[in-house]
Amino acid sequence: MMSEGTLLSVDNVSIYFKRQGGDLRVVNTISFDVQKGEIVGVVGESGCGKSVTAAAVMGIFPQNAYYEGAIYFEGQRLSALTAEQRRALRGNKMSMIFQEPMTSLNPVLTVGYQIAEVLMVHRGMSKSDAMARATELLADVKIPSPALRIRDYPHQMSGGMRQRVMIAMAIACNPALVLADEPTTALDVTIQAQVLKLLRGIQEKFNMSVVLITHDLGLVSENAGRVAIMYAGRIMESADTATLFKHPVHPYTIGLLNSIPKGRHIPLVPIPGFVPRPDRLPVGCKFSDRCGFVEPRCKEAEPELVEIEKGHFNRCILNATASPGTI
Amino acid sequence: MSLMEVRALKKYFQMRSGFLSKPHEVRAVDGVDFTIEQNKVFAIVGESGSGKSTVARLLLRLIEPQDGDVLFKGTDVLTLKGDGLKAYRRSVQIIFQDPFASLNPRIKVYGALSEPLKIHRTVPKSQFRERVRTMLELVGLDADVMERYPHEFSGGQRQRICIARALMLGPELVVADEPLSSLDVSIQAQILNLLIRIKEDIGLSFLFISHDLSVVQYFSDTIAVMYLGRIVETGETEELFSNPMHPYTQMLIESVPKIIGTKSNRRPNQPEDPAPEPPSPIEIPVGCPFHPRCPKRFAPCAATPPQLQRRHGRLISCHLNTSD
Repeated sequence: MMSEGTLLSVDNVSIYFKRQGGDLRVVNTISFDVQKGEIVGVVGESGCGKSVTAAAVMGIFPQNAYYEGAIYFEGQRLSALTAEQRRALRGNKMSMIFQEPMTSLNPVLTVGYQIAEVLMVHRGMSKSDAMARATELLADVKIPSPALRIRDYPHQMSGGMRQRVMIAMAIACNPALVLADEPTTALDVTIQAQVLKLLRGIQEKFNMSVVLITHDLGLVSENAGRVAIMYAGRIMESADTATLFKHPVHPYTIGLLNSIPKGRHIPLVPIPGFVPRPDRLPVGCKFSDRCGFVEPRCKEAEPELVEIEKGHFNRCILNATASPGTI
Repeated sequence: MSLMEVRALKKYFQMRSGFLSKPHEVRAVDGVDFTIEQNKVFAIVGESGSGKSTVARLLLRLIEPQDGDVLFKGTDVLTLKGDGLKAYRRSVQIIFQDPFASLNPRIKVYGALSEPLKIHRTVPKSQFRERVRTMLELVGLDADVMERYPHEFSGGQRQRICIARALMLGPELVVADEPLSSLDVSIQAQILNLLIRIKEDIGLSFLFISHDLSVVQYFSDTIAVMYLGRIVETGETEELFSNPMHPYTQMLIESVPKIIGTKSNRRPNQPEDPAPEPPSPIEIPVGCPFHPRCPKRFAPCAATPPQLQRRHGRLISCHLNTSD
């Protein structure tokens, strides 16, 4: 199943949280691949399982979580690696950019040291070499006067600057894969545009693969080549970006697109109800209790994710007959 | 008569960066003028640090300004005391951003919604329950939620409760400070439609504060764009979006990621932002506050601050637009 250009393959992964009275499944048998040099968008609302999926790939699960299924990175099955081997991958060949740069940077270390540490650990560089490289990396992420800013502590920087530092750390070892979990959600819109432009430039220059996790459909539309829409721990629809936004077929995707104001005279059609808790999902299709196209059979069995056209997957019984409508 | 008129409103905060450092002044709101008309939605957009939330708190007298005037239906709001202030607060209510932080976790929904009635004694106690029920139904909640605690509700439901609370006293103006930004996309649309319905049903006016331009474009009649404590452009919503004139307004609208559905929608000619350092209200640049980031800056911008002037049927503060 893995082709030559596949970097990451998530194969039937389910993620569970241990708890008394039965473990809670928050992600249910999801599969997706990331090719070398592409940006894959993962879109979903809070609680859909998108961040915990990234944590599974990175191997940074909380103590009470575990997964079933297989994750392959550069053809290696990650669960077969020792803790030592995983540490050698993390921060080196795969790295992560988190949403909140204030809480993900150490407040008592200079930003320069925090970038240099990655290089000292993974590349065995001396501290002075690593600091020199850190200065170059700050310049790469377009921080003005990098030789001075390298001595700054995180609190001396603005949110946009801190997110640039996070990006510098993430790309320090020239990783093959960057997992960006809501990388610009905490930033203002003009700063978001700058940070994304920067990330895109770096991604193209080094032919990195990026998994862009976000709730913002516009962000994905402008940046990703392929998109997966997640809901209640499942992938509901996935396709290349142009297809997904031009011909969405899953009622949830259509509902999300109709929830975004597009102009003064285009009425907003919200999705009714609210995102169910993972322990209170409806029987059958997990979206059936909010879906405008629901039929009795939707409540009987959960539909499979089916390839309706080449590369376009949909988890809805309606796709077999007719498209439920376009936006 | 306009519902609310704000003239030359100013709020400066004193701030210390360290224990021994000398205090400096943060000009959060630095001379803001605008007018809110009856039964209209007036929106203030801007990024963090622009002073938009400070304006909201000033209008409600949650904080006091340094200078300026606020007139509500011709009455000077800033000198109100006692019963006059209480009456004003019945007319102007607020909805906050975070519905998790703005409901007391130990008070049931009935308690939260009946408290304004208790304080203002607008109806006899025997009618409290009926009023609470009416408001809950108006915001799309069942009456049986009254006996439940806030933690039992989702974010969207809590924001509905907060909206109901703001409406309990029959206000004329509701100040909504980022009421959607902590909600999921599918829930935002629900709440936005609810606000529109309420506005039409009871003829409310809104001061709507947001950083989300697509929401503002959908909901508001008039927009003021704020940057570092000042209004840089204000005009009718549709005109402002179809023809933004101030370079900052243009940058804001440009920066919003758009769903177009093709790969070619990557805007290759997006102007390079000359200064990646975002603005800080602590060190407001001399001259035009936006000039260090402005792609169209020229000689006068670093020297003289432009004044808000009427150009092309709207108010704009930019040296570029003063020639005609």
